[in-house]
Parts: sequence; structure tokens; C-alpha cells
Amino acid sequence: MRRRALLQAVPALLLPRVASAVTYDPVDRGRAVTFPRDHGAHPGFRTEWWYLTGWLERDGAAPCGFQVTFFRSRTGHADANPSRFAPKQLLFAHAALALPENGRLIHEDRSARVGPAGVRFSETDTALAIGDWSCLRDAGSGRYAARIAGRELDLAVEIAPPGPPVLQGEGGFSQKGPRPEQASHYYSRPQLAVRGRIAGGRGAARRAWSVRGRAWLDHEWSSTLLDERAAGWDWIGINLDDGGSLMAFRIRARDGGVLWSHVARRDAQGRPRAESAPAQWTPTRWWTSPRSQARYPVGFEVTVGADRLTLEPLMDDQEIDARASTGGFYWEGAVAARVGGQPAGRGYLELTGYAAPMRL
Amino acid sequence: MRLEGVTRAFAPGQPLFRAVDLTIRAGERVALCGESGVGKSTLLNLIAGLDVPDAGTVEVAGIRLDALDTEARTRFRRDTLGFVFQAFHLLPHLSARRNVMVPLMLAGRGVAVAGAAADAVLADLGLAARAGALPGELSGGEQQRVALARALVHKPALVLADEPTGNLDPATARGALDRIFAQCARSGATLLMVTHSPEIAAHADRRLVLGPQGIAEG
Amino acid sequence: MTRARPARARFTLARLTLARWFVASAWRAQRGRWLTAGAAVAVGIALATAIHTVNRSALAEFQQAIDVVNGAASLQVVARAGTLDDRVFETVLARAAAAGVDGVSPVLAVDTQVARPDAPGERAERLTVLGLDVFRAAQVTPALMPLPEPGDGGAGSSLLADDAVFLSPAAQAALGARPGQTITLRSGLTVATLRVAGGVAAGAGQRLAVMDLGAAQWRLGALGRLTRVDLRLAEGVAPAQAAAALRGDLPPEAEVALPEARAQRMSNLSRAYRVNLNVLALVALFTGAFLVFAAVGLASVRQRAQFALMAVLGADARWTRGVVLAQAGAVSLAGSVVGALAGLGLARALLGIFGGDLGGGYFPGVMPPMVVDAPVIVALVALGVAVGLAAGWLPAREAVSARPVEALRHGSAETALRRLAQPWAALGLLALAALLLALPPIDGLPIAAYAAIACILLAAIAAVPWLVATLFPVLLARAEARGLERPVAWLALARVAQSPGQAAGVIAGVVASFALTVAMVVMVASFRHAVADWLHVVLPADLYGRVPSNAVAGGIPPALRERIAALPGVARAEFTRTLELSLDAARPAVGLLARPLEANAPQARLPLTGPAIAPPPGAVAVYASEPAADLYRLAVGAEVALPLGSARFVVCGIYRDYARQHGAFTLALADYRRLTGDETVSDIALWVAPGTTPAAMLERLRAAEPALAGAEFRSADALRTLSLRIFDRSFALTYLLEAAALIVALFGVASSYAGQALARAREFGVLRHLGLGTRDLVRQVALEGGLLSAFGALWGAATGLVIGLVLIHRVNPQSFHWTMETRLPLGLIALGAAALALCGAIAAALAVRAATGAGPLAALKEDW
Repeated sequence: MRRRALLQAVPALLLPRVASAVTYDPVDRGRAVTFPRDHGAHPGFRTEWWYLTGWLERDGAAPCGFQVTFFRSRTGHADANPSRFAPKQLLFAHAALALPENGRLIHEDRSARVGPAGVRFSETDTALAIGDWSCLRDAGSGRYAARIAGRELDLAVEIAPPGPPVLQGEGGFSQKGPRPEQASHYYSRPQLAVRGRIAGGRGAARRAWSVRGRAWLDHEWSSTLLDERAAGWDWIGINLDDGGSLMAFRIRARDGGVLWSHVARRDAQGRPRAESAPAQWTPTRWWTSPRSQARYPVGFEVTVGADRLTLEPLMDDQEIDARASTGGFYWEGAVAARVGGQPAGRGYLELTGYAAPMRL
Repeated sequence: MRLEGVTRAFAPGQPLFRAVDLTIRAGERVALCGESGVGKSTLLNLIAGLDVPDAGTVEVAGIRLDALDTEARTRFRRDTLGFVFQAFHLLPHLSARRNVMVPLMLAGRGVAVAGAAADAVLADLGLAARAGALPGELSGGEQQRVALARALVHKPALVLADEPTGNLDPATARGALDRIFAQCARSGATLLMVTHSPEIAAHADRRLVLGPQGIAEG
Repeated sequence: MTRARPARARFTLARLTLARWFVASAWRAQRGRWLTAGAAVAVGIALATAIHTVNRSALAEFQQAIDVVNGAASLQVVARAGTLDDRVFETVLARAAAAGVDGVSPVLAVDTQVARPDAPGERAERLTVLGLDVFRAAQVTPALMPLPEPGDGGAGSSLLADDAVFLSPAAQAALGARPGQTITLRSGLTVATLRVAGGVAAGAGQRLAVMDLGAAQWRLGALGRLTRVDLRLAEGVAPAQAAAALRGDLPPEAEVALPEARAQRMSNLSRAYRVNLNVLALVALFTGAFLVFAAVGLASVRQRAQFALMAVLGADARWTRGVVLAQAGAVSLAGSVVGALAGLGLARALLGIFGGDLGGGYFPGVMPPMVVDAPVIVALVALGVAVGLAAGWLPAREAVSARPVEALRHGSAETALRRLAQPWAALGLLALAALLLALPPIDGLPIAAYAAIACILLAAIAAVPWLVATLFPVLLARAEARGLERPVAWLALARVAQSPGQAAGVIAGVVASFALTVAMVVMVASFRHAVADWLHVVLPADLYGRVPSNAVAGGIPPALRERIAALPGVARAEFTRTLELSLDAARPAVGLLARPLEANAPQARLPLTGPAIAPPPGAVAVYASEPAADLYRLAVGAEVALPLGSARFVVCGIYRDYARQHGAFTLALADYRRLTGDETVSDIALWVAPGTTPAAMLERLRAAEPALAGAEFRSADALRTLSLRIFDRSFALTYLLEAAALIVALFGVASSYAGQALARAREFGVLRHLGLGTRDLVRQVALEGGLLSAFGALWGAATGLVIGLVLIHRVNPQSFHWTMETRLPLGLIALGAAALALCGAIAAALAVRAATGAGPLAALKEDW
């Protein structure tokens, strides 16, 4: 599944208060996910994202984390408006570098209406751009190229998938809550090989590195909201050292319980492992943000079947301030997984709904 | 001119003088003496119709002043009296000639008549050459002569003079006094002159002394 | 410690005590006089303070209004004419990084009219709607960001809606529209009904609406158009440098406007307003300073004799100076402080009643909060005190100089002032004025001409003693030669003739204020006459209509135009397209009128000021309005670059236009269509066929064409009346202030005579002795006052005529760029002069009657 700040904030931003002529495509259990079509955008759905996260090795420096996300939103703005500035579709992009020596994320974001100024998506393949921020898939090689040129961070990476996409849920239909319409179309691409260059810092403090590493891409689209009782969610996507992958999420209820929980493990060949029981999430360490005052469980013990994964963050402060774009604060950070004290994999942990809804 | 039982007080119960009787005949030249503060000037003001007595009657040239209203007294003054002040009191913005013209102008005689009369009087007093000068440009003696000319130009029946030579040196004062007497005699005017100086008083036909007890011949 | 010190201290103390007695006794004895002086000082400073404060407040708000609409962007790409193709946004964006621009925000600004369904007859309110891309405006012009209502769907659900508009608090108040309600906007023939979804961050005092750019392009009929692109510069990038980098890539219809140019534009825009208010401030300051001088000076003159006596008794100059300055300083300080406070109160009242432009109609929709300009107000108080000190000191100076005894003598007050009875100062000032009049405007403002007016005014006042000393003795001699019988008249005339210095003190205020009044009356009468004439020429049709046109929409399409022309009852229909052109980023936009013109007889439609020429072959004929010709230095035959296609434009004539102060050009509608392809028009002029009235015609038109519901129609008569009413209203406050100045001047006459009644007590006493009745005495003084006021009024009128000519032929062309013929409303001026003389007489009579209660005895007793 997924999740995301958007599920909490963007729908609120985009939902018109008056009845609108806009109708969103429903998530359909019977709809097959097909490629290459479904690499592209689905503008009939309310929200959609391409979520790229991963660990990078740097020359002469400790490993670091990166995140590049493109969100698409369909607003309530009338379809009939012929203006090319009409904000019917919006694109948001978040980019973050988790450099451990920095102690906190270098984060930038962009928001724009689709149409003018080179803000675009494709309905046939992954081709997303907000000006010179882009994420493109080459149809021939199947490789992705991501380019982010910000004030404080610069990133240009080429990403090679080792195999076909992994469809989550039932053939790409991923249930998100107790009601049938609380679902999304969702596929992941684990174990992506990354090569490229990153740079972080401002002015004279800017430093650049050649990088290589492993990443994870999620592509998910939906029109429905979380359950009303939901407070937020916890999500992990781990590239296991054995070539397999682990994706798990749980939707937390406002009353402290768990509304919905799901786990999916694949082996190196992408074959799913049947789980007898949902994953158990036990926080092991908490960290309080000096900015939002939110308290995040940055250390977890996640029990999946017989395995107990211990998650430790690359650094504690990987909170993102997205108040200027999609809204609110959330924690999106690189984590290392251990099983029985031995390194077992690396991936990303996402924690939302811990900060009180904030508004500027 | 007759005053009978005239009483005037500054404030109730503080009379300046009480029940003064005084008679002066036409053409007489009378000096009024008395110590400072006995009311010489007040008496003069009563005779001029500038003040009214608290009790008694004032009659000048057959007119009962105490019975007249303010406007009538103003007319009386204009037609019947001439004034000579110790400080001359010339109008500073008028030339000597125009100062002398004032009484006749006030009497409505017109510029031609008033001017001719003024010229005649000024010539009489030897001031023909200074007629155009402003008071500020005249010497003390000249100012006194202009003041005298102004007092006599309309041929008043009664001339009131309050220390007319008080501001002049003795020599000039003598000449001035002689002129006053001479001019009054020529026009037949009665003269009532307040003075401190016994020497001057001696020149008068009569000398009256005003005291707290009333008027006595001196 | 030496013994000298206690001795000196004792000496100083004794002197101080003496000074205190002196001042205290002066205060006790002449409390009324000093209070009058203080009150006069207060009135003077209050006037100056009030006008300055109103001026400042309005300008501050105006400046803010300009900045608000522009969102304080550091640089803008704007349209030279009309609107820009919205692809200019991408053009700018492509160059942005290289030019050092790190924020680019496209804007569509549309002037709309708000329909009032509740009050259809009411004049529609104007509302500027800014269409913004919130994602971009947030970086470039955060002040323009819309503010959704709290609880509006969490993060602001209406921000991107296609039907939401956000109104500034002033707009909400003016339109009576609260969030949740809907408003209907008209632009051209386009009608948009939008829901009010919240407020705007900035511009509390400014009527402003913000909505989504895409929604605005669609709803307001401006698809594909922008009016400007706001830019934010990266740190350390100079605007001029960025502008140069951008310019090369821009299409010809776009230009880069620097912030300085915007400030300059704003300054040009508010110029007329400032010129008008500056005149008022000048009048106020003049009147005020004069009042201070007259009041304190007169009070001091009256003490001359006392100071002279003190000098005779051994008071040195320092002591006297101390006393004089202490009392003059005290009274003028008290008066100035009270005046400044009263002035602030007055300013508040004026702002509340007339608004920031004092009824001038320059900034409709702006209600400025009061701005207190503390430094200037302190300076005004200081000026009041300084003038007061000078006024106190000058008359007393002589009393303590070499010849104190002279000052003691009769009439010496007059001799001290007699030196003033020389024409040289006046002639010198007049020569200076002539010199100043020859100078050109400075920075586009007629500063030299104003200085010349000040010189003429000072010359007129300086000439008063000399004129009185020259004129009245002649009058007196004439009167005497004719055998004047009336003693009162004779005395009054003689008195005036011999006191020229005092006369100046009495009537300088009358001369100054009446001169300025007459000048303004002459200028306004000439102006009004010119406007009325002009209105007749420019409004030949019976009925005029205008759709709410703006840069985006001319409004009326060809089909509708033909239907209107074909309506029964329409004898003739003419259409005009009006729009705005930007010829110079530093100047307000000029108007462009495309209307039917006969190539060989343009004077049939335009009030030309001179002969017209035929355009050279291949060139398009345009006609420049007087302001346009003056501002852009165009003569007949000159070429002018208008941003309309690539044609060559030649000025073929110059015409009078009192409506568009920033200039306008007119060209033939056919030429305009050929050059731009714009077939729409915005203005309709209809000639009604015989047998139909304009009202009936209008009814028929409205019934036949419901699309014209938003159009404003007026008959030519109604338009003329309305124009003249607006004209009159814009001068209402000027009149009010001049009336105040005249009343102050009369107050000066009265206070002078009240003072004189005391100073002249001995003179009055002598006259009473000599047989002048009380009533005659009052009559004499009334006559003096009347004579002097009449003279002051006549002299003031003469001066005012000269100043009026300067206003008409120098100030107006230099600041407004339009000319007019001189009209002299002599009847009105004569009436004013007569009224002034009468009031002067009454003021003098009242003052002297109130002051001569004591009678002649006390008067002569005062002699020492």
C-alpha cells in the first residue's frame, strides 16, 4: 500500500467544499495492472505517487539515504475550464538527502499545476516533470532517471530494475481498511540498482559525491480516503540482503489500536511468501522533534512470522516539514534491519500522524 | 458758571469733597489751587461734563450739566469748552494743523472752515511754519502752543486748563501762560486753570483753594 | 569660592524676579490679548498640521495601495498595451535562472464591476481581481496570497476552486459580501458569479480580490492572457541587471518594469493630487505663520513703551530680550502645541468626511488611516515658536536700542514702523518672482512657479505700508479739497493715512488670504469654463454607453454593434474602443481611443488646439492629447512609437483633453482594427431619431439586448452635469480652506482693533474730551477698519489676479499639462471684496466697542 502525507493532507486540500462536477475513478478489484501502461499516470484517480527511496554508498563517506517522490493530485476544478493554467491536476515533488554527518534531512519540495511551465506527466509511461525536477522511465532499457536540482541538494541518478514490478495485494489491488472501497492500485520495484551523483549543502559548504546503492520504488494510485477512525500509519519497505523484499504497513486508529495491518515478503525471485499472521510492530525507541514537538517511534521491532526484525534509523532526525506543499510534518527515513543481531537488509520507514495537524 | 452743593466720592463713605459751592462769572480768569489729591482734576471733570456729581448741581453757561444725558454732554463739551492738558495730548497721527481742526470738524463745520480757522489761530500763535508737522516732530513749547490753539479755535465760552505749563521750562512756561491769558481775553472766554504754582496763580483774576473742607478764596 | 559669586547670583535672582513680575503683570493686565495671540497661533499651526497630516496619510495609503496591488514584487514584466499572451510566462521562466530571477509568478489583473442585484440603479463598484498561481505567488508576492476561512476543509479547499474569489477586508466591507456569499462580476460583456471564500493577506485598506489564475482566465473571459509576470530576484542580483538579461527574449508587447519605475509611476499618478494639496498646505502655512507673527508682534508692539521705560530705568538689552522672548516664546509655544493637537483632530475629521483625497476623487476606494508625521509636526511647532519669537523681538528691539527715550514719545510706535513704508523690498521680491516665472519646471513640478507665487504674495504684503502711506494721504487731501463735512470720516481717513505701518499689521492677513482666494477663484472659474466648453465639443451625441471594459475585454463584438446601430430610433451610432498603453514604465499608462474620424476633418470630432496635418504616405495618423504631447514632448508632425503592430505613427494634431491627465492618443477606429485585428468596442454613442427621447431609446436598447445589462448609459446632459459636479467636488475643500483663511484674516482685523482700542485709549480720551461721542468713536474705528479692509481686499484681489494668471499659465500647464483661457469672475470678486470690507468694518467696530468700556477719564489717567 501506501500511505503518505498526501492521504492525510492532500485530499483535504483538493476536495472542493461544494459539490463538484468532478467524479473520480474508483479502485476496482477486478482491474488488472498492466505494463507499460501502468508505469504512467492515472489522472482519473484522485491521488497517485511514485515514491523512490534507498541507501547509497558514497566514496570516502558513510552510507546515506535519499528520497525522491512525485505526487499527482486531481483537484475539484471543473474539467470544462479550457485555460491551460486551470489547476485540474497538480504535481508535488519532495526530495530529501539523509546525510548522517548532517544530523538532519536536507529537504526541498516543489508544487505546481500541471500544464504550463513544463509541469507534466504521461499516461503511457513514467514521465514526470516539474520544470527541471524529473523522473523518467526509458521504455527501451526499462531504466529510470531521476533529476532533482534544488538550492541545497542536487541529485542525478540512473536506476536499473533487476526484474519486473512486484504487484502488491491481490494482483495490484491493495486493501487499506475494513471497507472494500478503502483500497489502492499498488506495485513496488525493490532491489533497484542506483548509480549517479548527489550533492548537498549550500554555497561553499556544498559537497558532491559519486554514489551507488539500492533503492525501492512504489507506484500507487487511489481515489478513496483512509477510514475516518485512522490517525496515521507506519510503513516499511526493506531490500533484504538475500535479494528478497519486505513491505509492511499498519493503519493506526485514533484510539491507539490498529485498524488495518498488512505484510508481504518476497524471495529473491519475487515469489511471495505466505504469512500466517499479520506483522507485530513494537516501538523500541522514541525521538521527539524539536520543530513539530511530535514524538516518533524511530526504533521498531517488527515480527514477521518467526522472524524478528530490529529497525534502527540511519539517524534520528529524518522528519520532513511539508507544510509548504502537501502539508504537515512526517518522518521518512533510512533504516537498517537486523535479524538476530546480524544485518539483514536496508530500507525506509515512514511514520505519519504523529505530529498534530499543523497549519501555517 | 455755578456749582451748588456738589459732592463726589470715590467710593461710598469716602467723599473726595462735599457740598462745594462755586460761582464764576463770564470772562473771569480763575486759578484753582490745592494740594495733591484734594480733587482738583475731578472738579474740572465735573465742570467739563466728563463726570457727574453724586449730589448737587453743575451749571455752565446756563446749562444744567447734571441733567443732561451723555450725548448732550458730549455736544456741550464740543461747543462750549476748550481743553489744555498738562501733557498736551495731541493726536499723534495728525499734523499740528489737523489737530487744531479737530474741534471744528467735530462741530460739523467742514474742512474749509476748520482749516481756515486753524490757520488763523496757528498764525496768531506763531506756528504757521510748523502747521504740517506731526506732534512727534514738535518741541514741547510748540506742542503746548498747538494744544492751546486747539482749545481756542472754536471760540469756546470756557477754557479748562490742567497744569498747562507743567511740562515746560520756566521761561517757556511764562510765555505760554501769557499767551493763554491773552488769547482768553481776546476771545472773551472764561478760564479755569488748575495749578500748583502760586506764581502763576497770582496772575489770575481770582485764586481759589480747594481743600477737604471745600473751596476758599485765596 | 569668591564673594563675587553670591553677589552675582543675587543680582541674577533679582533680575529674574523682576522679569517674572513684568511678565506676570503683563499677563494679568492683558490676559485677553495674550489669550487671543495664543489662540491665533493655535489656529495657524492647526491649519498647517491638519493639511499636512491629511496629505501624508493619503499619500502613505496610496503608496501602500500601489504596493499592495503589485505585491511588492521586485521586478515585473508588464504589457505595453492591453494584455500579454500567457506564453510569455514560459519565456520569462526559461530566462529566469540566467537572469538571476528565482521566483516567477504570472498574474492576470482584471478591472471588473460588481453587479448589485439588490440595488440595480446604484453606481457599480469597481473591483480589481488578481488571478494568481498560488504556488508561485507564495514565493514572489506572499502578501497577495488568499486566506481561506478557518475550517475551510483543513488546508484550504477553495484555493484552487474554479468558482472561488477572496476579498480583502476593505472589499468585503465595500461590497457587503461576507465569505459564503456570492458576488457577480462583470468584465466587458462577461458575467461571472463567484463565491466569496475568504480574505487576502495584505491590503487591509485596499479593495482587492484574488482568485486562481486558471479560474480567472476562464471566468473573466481572458483565456490565454496575462497582464503581468511578477519576479523575485535571487539575493544580490541588481534589478537593472536582471531586467537587461530578460529584455532580449521578451516579445515586443512586453517590457520589464523596475521597482524605481513603479515608484516613479506612483509619484506621477498622485502628482495632481499632491499639487492641489500642496497649494492648500502653502495657504495654511502662510496664513498660520502670518497669524503667529501678527498676534505676537502686536502684543509686543503694545509693550514697547514699557520696555523703553525699563531701558531708561537701567534695564539692559539682555534683560529685555529675555523678557520679550520669554513671553513671546511662552505664548507661541502654548499656542503651537494646542494648535498641533487641534490640527491632528481636524485632520482626523477631514479624513473621515472627505477621504484621503479631500474629495478630489483621485483615489476612489481608499480610506486611509491617519499617519502622524511626528518630525514635521514638531518642525511646525518649532516654526510657530520661531515666528513668534521673531515677531515678539522685532518690535521690542528698537525700544532697547540706542534711543529708548524716543520710544517713550508719542507716536513712536508709528515711526518705528515707518521705515517699512518703502517700496524697495516689494519691488525686489517682484523682480525675483519674474525671474522665477521664467524658469522651467523642476522634476516635472512647477516648484519655481510656486516660489514665484510666494514672492508675489510677500511683495504684496511688503508693499502695503508704502501703498497706504502713498495712497491714503492723497485720498485725505482729495477729500479735504472737496470740503469733507463728516468729522468721523475725516478722522478715520487721517488716522489711516498717518499709520501705514499699523495698517500693514491689520490687513496683511486680509491681503494674503484674499489674494490666494481670488487666485484660486480665477483659476477654478477659468478651468471650469474650459471644461464646460470642452464637454460640449466632446459629447455631441444624445446617449452614451460604456461596458465595463478593461485590458482584457473591449466588450462589444461586431454582431452586437450592428444590432445596436439597426435598432429603431437610432439615428446614428458610433463606437469607440478605449484601452490603455504603457509608453514608459515610469509613467502611468496613457489612454488610447480608437474612434471614427474623418481623415481630412479630424477637428469635427476632436477639440484640436491648432491646425491638423495629413499623415505622410505610409504612416498612420494619431492625435495626441495636450498632456500626452507635453509629457512625451510631441509636436505635430512628430513620430510616436505606439505598441500597436509595426506601423509608423505620426502625430497629426493635438487636442484638448481634461479627462485623462496622464495623456491619451486618438486614432481612427478603422486604422486600429487594421493594425490589431481587435473588432470589439467598449463605448457607444447614440444619436436619437426625431420623435424618440434618450430615455425611451435606452429602454428599448436594454429590452432588446440583455447582454448590455452591465453597461452604464448616460445622456449627454447627465454626463456633463456629472462631470461638472465631480469637478466642483474636487475643489470643495479648497474653498473651505480659503474661507477659513479669510475668517482668520478677519479675526486678525478684529484682534488688531481690540488691541488698538487699548493702545489708542489716550487718543480716544482726547477725542472724547474734544466732544466726540462714544457712538461716533465706534463709527470712526469701524470706518478705519472698513477702509483698510476694502483697501486690503482690492489690493488682495489685484495680487490674486496676478497669482491666478500664474496658476493658469504656469502651474497648470507645468503640472497637469493642459491649457485654458483666462476667465475673470469680476462680479464674484467684487462681491467678495465688498463683503470683506463690510466684515472688516464690523470686526473693528465690535472689537473697539468691547474694549472702550472704561471711558475717557481712565484713559487719560493712564498717562505716565
